[in-house]
Amino acid sequence: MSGGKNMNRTKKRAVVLLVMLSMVLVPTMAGRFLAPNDPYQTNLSQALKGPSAVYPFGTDNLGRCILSRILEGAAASIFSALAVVAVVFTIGTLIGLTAGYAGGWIDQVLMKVTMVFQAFPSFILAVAVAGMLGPGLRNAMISLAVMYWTTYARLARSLVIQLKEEAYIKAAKMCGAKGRHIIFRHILPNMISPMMITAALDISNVTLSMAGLSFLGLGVQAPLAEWGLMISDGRPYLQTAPWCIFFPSLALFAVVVLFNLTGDCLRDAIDARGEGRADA
Amino acid sequence: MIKFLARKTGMLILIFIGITFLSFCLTYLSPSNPAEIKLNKTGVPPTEELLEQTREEMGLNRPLLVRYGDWLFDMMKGDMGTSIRNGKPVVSELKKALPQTAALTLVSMAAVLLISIPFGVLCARFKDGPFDIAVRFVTYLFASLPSFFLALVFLYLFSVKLGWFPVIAPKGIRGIIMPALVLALTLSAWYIRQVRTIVLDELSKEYIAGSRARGVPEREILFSHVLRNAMLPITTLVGVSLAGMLGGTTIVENVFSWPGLGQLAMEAITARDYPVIQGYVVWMALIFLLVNFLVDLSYGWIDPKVRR
Repeated sequence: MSGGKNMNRTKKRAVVLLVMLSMVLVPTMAGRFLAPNDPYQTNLSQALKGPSAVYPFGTDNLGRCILSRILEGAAASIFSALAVVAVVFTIGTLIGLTAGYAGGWIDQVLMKVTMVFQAFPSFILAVAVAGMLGPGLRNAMISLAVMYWTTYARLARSLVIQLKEEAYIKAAKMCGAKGRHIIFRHILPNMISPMMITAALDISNVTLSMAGLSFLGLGVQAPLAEWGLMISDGRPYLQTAPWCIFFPSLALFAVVVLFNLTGDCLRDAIDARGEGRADA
Repeated sequence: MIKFLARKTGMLILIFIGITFLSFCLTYLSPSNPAEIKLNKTGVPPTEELLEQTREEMGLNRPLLVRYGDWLFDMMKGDMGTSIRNGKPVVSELKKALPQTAALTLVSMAAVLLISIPFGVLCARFKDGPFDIAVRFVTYLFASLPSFFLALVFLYLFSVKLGWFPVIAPKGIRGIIMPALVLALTLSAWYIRQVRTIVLDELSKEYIAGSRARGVPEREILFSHVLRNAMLPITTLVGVSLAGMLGGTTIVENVFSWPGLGQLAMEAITARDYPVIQGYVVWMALIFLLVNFLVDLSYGWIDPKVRR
């Protein structure tokens, strides 16, 4: 990709996306303060009421305000996914870096372990781990980490192996640079962009998986608010009160689309600079 | 070919051991221990002494690897323990549910291919045309759609509003249509893009330009050259995407009450029935492993270059 025109378009897109992303993320971060009603206040006389001025998105089967619960639940739905990505990014990079830099039997063993984890249908592994640990947000996050770390380990390893062959790394080694110096000064900084692209594109997947686990009842537990759980709880009222399902789904969908667009935009921006390839 | 087979089989055995070992270790994640569960079930209040005795009886005090070996040996004989929930053998529980999941997976995989190959090829053929742009837009949105939401929309539209299908899926063809379609649609979004890329890649090769220069009709190029060569990478896609599909069955089966492995697993999780959860993950992983092994072999069969 060459020429300033494309770059400008990417920049414009990035700005638009950042604005949109902050329009979604800032209210959700401040959810507790923006919520029109108490997300946990039950009021059976107002149960399953459609959207109104007091309850913009209607109420659920216990008469709780759905909009307030969506805002309250954003933390569990979005920020837990971000935390999982941060964790698998770190763990995967460490493992991949070790395997790729050390080589030999360490590499062999670590890569075989990665391969075994990848031999499981990933969501099923997450379901099984969450099922064994028992439901709960922390356990759901652990099971998602178990599911997602392998991508980063493999990518980091292949990047390290590629970089190790670069002339400047060899030169640094020849000059007597220490391993730690080479890793932190030369290898890690050059790995960051492709790894970041993968992470950015992964956020939406993790968000969807998290919602899937909650939907199955393996994530956040009632009465706490979380989107996947809200959708699951609304199932009996599919016919009578479809807003119970519609609005949390819409929130989830909007956030996932935004994360996807942002990830793509980031990839294009970094690719345009020619710093890395998103071949994950 | 023999060398290729031997290498593949060696890898298969290695991964098999890895999978079973990891699944075996999963039980250590559970907060309650098997001896306690057993005692609770018989209604005996678990004292420290009794727990120790039960642990000894159940062989829980032996080293991990010995226990793994025993467990693996029993599994090979078809004994994966008994369900805590109803005391039935785990294997028979799994066997009962497996055909449902297998049928669901096969039907949706067929639907995925039927949907995505024509769409993917057409998108590639008319790249950047209105059709291509529209399909890309729709697939982009679909990739962001949680499968359970799509399932609920289907349930609302076709069961509640139109009344075409019962809300709880009956066994047989009428019951499989909705879960299979939901599963297929969510995966097709990804598939169409992959097929499009594969076909575009093939279309950019020199022999295509050569054929065009020689005046070979576009239709013939597309069907007898491009599609034939594209079948190889598409075969691999099937193997790779099976993981997503098996994972998707967990959710879809639960929404549509389809009595497959996914529903069994969720019932087991709710009842803290650890042997069944363990059996579920082992079976799913082995199915995935076996199918990919077969895909690998067929790939080597079709394309001699891979054998090396």
